[in-house]
Amino acid sequence: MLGISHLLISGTATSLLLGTASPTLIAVGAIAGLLPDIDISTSPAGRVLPWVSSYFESKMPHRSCTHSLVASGAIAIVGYGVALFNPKLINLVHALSIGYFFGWFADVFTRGGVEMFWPSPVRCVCPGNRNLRLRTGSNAEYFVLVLLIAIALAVFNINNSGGVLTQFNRLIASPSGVQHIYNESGSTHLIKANIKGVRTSDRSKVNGQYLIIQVQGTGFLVQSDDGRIYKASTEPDSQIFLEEITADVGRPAITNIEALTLEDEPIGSAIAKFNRAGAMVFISGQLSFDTLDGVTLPRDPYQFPVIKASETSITLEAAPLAIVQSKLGEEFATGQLQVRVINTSSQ
Amino acid sequence: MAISGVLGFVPKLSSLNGTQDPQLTTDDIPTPGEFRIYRQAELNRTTASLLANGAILIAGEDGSGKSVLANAVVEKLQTDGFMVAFIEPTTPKQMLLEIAHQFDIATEDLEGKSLTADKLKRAIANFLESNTAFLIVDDAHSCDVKFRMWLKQLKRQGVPMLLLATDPPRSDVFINVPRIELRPLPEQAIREIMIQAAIERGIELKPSELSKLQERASGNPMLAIRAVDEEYLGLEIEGADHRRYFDITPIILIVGVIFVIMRFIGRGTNDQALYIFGGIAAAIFMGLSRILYNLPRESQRIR
Repeated sequence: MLGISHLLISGTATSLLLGTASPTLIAVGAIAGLLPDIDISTSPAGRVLPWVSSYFESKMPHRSCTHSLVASGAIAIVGYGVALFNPKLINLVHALSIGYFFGWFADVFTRGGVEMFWPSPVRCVCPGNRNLRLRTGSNAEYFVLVLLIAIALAVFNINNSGGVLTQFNRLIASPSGVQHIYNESGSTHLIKANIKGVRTSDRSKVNGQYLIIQVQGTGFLVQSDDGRIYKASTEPDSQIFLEEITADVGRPAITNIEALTLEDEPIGSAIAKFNRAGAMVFISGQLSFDTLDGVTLPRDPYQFPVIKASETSITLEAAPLAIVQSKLGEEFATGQLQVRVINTSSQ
Repeated sequence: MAISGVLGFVPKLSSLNGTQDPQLTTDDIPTPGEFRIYRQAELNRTTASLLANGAILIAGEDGSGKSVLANAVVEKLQTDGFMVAFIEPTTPKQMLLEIAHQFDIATEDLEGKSLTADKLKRAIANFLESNTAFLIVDDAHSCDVKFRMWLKQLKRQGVPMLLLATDPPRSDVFINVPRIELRPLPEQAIREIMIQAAIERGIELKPSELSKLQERASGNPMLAIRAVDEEYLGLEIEGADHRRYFDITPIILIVGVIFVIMRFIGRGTNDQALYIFGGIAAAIFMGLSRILYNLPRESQRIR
């Protein structure tokens, strides 16, 4: 098999298995793919280390000891042994082991096969029919090479944009994929959801980008650009019934949760300290009042009810600070609140 | 088989007891025309078995060195003063005549008529009953069934015989006789044979070239010499004819099984993406292994 084929196979396998687009790791994996051919002095690895290759080529046939599970095991033992004392190298060792393994395993598809179970002289091949296996430098190998280049580019691109499963989640557009991204990056970044669905109230089409505020049941509470809040899920109490949802990781934003206790004091002044520039603040919790006379609460059937009121108490769920301030700012209340502050970097 | 016991095979008995040098250099290679016995352990075991009036079968693939071993046994026994008949398969009558000729048994009756096959068999059997002589049949798998049944009768009589065969059936005389199966020669021995073959052909091969050619031998001395011949003729060949190729297509199926496991993990942990991804990947790999299984098998004939 050509050196370039080994480079591509090992580089791609390293990128795919480690889920990385790091050029260093891919390069280490790709170069490790050339190492098994050190058993012959005419190979690139053999030319770089002629003393090692002359030892191997004078003792044993090509594609024997260095193309075996034993050699892969030895490389792994040495590599992980070094990594034990220098944990920073662990990813490089992963790349080395994967690259080396695929370097010799690719030769299984060639006419000669490899002594995978060395010291047993059995030569492992796939497929069994030699006429269907690759001959070095044949047209079939160049065809495979073109395919490999396409696969390698696709894998590098996928890994550069979040990894295989992330891209797959985007493809199938299911809430679990968005949940995965939200869990992964929600505390440090804004998560923008691209939602396709219908409004549960009048079944009008919804297709747009929303900011995910928090998880709600099996769905999400999301905020549109105009500040409206919806529950997007497949549950009956949602405002947007989801058909497809994908997520993009947006700009950096730190999410903090703070607790606030009110003892018959005005809500407005208690929450005023959270009104900071560049912070999105959402308040949840339950407050009890002596009376709720004169309080008019917003009620939009298209939106998620962020404020629910009974005779003497109010339940807030992801209510924006501005709304709480304007509707309940003057009221005296007792209770506990959870304040979710999403601090975005200043524009 | 102890590696130390595997030495060289040689038509010249003078080097039969030669030892193998672990550090092989070009200077150590025997001069052209000289051979080494690489299967000393088998040679000793075979001659010992024959001298103990036993019968023994040596089985091995084509080119594994059976005939060379047989020649070495013949020479060793003859040197020790024993009578040996060494035959190769032809027609049954010719084989019987050959045995009779080598044992100096009369092939004509008193009236000068040639003996029939049955009479020859009887004459040979009588001779072997009253004399210590050894019968060695090379390529015994090619002998016809009746001849093999006669060998079986001789074996029952206690005639010491050595049969050499490639893929003998598990029946008649072959199932009755203790068997030595020839293992592949160690790589160092194969390298020696190749270097010597190159010297005999007057070509100089670099270690890298020998290393590549040795891939095609896989412990088979005949294929090792053939690889040198092919290089001598300038033929570009990658595949070999030895039998130590092992199809690892089932490993593809194992990858599919791993994805099936991933699919169950996805289902159990409510990870929809992993569930669907695992399922699709498993289907692809299972399908791929199925396709690989159904690829046309390799023909046993040279095409």
